[in-house]
Amino acid sequence: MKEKTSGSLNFQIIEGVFFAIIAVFIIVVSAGMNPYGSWSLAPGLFPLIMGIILLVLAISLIFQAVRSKSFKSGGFDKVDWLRISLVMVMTFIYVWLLPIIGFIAVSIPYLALMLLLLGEKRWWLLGIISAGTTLSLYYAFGVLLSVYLP
Amino acid sequence: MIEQILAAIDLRFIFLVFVGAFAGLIVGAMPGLSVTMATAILVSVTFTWAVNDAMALMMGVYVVGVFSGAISAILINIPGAPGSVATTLDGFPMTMKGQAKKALRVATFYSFFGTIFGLIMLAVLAKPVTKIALQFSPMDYFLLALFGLTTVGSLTSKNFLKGLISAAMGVIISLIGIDPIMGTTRFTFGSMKLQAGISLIAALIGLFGFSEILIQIGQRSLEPIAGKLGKEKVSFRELLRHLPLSIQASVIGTLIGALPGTGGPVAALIAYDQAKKTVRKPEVPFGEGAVEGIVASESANNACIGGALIPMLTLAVPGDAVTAVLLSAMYVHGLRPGPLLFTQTPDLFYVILAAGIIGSLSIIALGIGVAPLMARMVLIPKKILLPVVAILCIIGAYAINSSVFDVLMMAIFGLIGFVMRRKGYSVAPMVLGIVLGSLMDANFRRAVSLASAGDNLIISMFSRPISIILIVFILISLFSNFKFVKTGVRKLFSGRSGKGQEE
Repeated sequence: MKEKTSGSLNFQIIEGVFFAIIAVFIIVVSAGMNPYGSWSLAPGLFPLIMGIILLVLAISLIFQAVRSKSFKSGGFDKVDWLRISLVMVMTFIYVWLLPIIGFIAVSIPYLALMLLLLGEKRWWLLGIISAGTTLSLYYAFGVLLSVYLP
Repeated sequence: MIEQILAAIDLRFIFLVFVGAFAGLIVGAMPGLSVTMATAILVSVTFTWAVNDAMALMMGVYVVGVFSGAISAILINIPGAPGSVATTLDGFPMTMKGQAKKALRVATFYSFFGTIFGLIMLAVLAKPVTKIALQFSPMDYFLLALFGLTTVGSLTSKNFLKGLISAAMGVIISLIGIDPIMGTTRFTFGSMKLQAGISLIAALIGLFGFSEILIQIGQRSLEPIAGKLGKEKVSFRELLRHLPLSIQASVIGTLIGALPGTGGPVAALIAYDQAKKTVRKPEVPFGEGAVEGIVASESANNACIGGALIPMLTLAVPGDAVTAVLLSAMYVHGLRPGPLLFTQTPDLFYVILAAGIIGSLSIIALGIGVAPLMARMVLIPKKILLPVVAILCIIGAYAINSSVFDVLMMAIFGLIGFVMRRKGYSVAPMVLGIVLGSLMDANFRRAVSLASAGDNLIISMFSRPISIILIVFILISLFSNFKFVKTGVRKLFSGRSGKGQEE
């Protein structure tokens, strides 16, 4: 899919710094992963190399942003953040409740709430889609494919 | 050979392949349900069956399952299988333009062609290709994976550097968990659940599927993905126009399929990258709905089937996860694949070829008959489709390991994918990095360890002919993405053509 935005330049510097911090962290942690003295088979060898590569790429990203002269105002544009945040919160609550109250009991309200959030107001359709989808998936996965569902 | 193949086919055999094919269609099109999982379940169901019946069913699932990963990739931008990652790049843009049916028709035809090509290669080249694959050293496997990673240039439409960062992050993510060589934990921070590593399927569904849901939900308008399916007829002649590209992709698919541990995603991405470099004037630019992108990706990942079967049947070394399951199914039936297969049970080779051929014909039947019906889902308003797809993402992530932790990972990767895509980082290189990371890590360290016994570490590591060829490929692939190289090559060619005209 075509990317929505390419990211503006002042944000690109922040992104570069963010990746540089991750890279330094990887380098520091993997440098300590050499329990047997020899680097040839050390668990930290490859992560160390990847950390250095990421650091070089992150610095290049910062340079690319600095060298480019046009600094645009950046950030996310025209996004319904409330809807996205609510979906994420609902999903994390779903993950938390899934092993406690089971697939059917958590999926029906999850689907109904999400449909409601996206603007579906016909109650009968809310019921049919949320219950129908959940029960069909339960049958397909739980019964036909023998996948254990909580 | 044809006589022996025909001898394996009867009505019951055809029926069983078709039943498997239908199951493969469903399994492959559903993100999270893998062909590997389906064939593994079938081993437990079919172990009391006659070997021909079991192979017919499993080959049906395998062949059509690989194809049908393209259906969800094209329709809802979620690859049904890792091998269909490259298909999303042009398949979904075609759907959004109202060309879903055309995209499915192209994917169907070239999946069929790729499978047949792979099977012909299996029949003809089984032994020579196996000999080459056997000569690959750990360093060569590392370089092959690195070559796969350099294809990120093709997966990132705007910023090559961001593509490389995405790929590097993918490789780093793949290193989380227990180190495959020494058995120590890395980057788990004391978490028991991270010891098994990050599930590829959970990451795949999150980065492609859940992030797409978040992007769509964030938009004010929730109209259907496409206003129409398109009635654009694709003539047979038009389909055949891409045959040379398909042959090129199928060759790549077969060769990479024959290398153990690589498989469909690598083959499809390398074939896609090569298509981008060799097709000078695509109908529309790559990444915006180019038919050629689907041709390359689908031909390669289906040709991989024949390729992956080569080392499995002749050396008992599986080329990918599904052939590993098929191998175990053969052992369950008391068969011994490997060098003695052709002397002890030669019929089995032809049974597998026959099942593969009928399976590929099933691709045509199901691709024309059933896939367009499945395509109607893109006409459903997003406010209804998105919650259903969200629950599919959740159950898909859960089903692989029956793990709630994988669902959590899927949601986190969904959020990461959302932010990445908003900021111009393509998610496909990250998936490629996760796929190839552990392969690179293990083989690089084995290569360093082997080379450290020699006099000169560098010469020991890089002096083999296969290594040198791969290094040349990597350098070409890497530098061809730099602007100054592109401009230089363009100038060189335009200068030459100008001279030619003057002369």
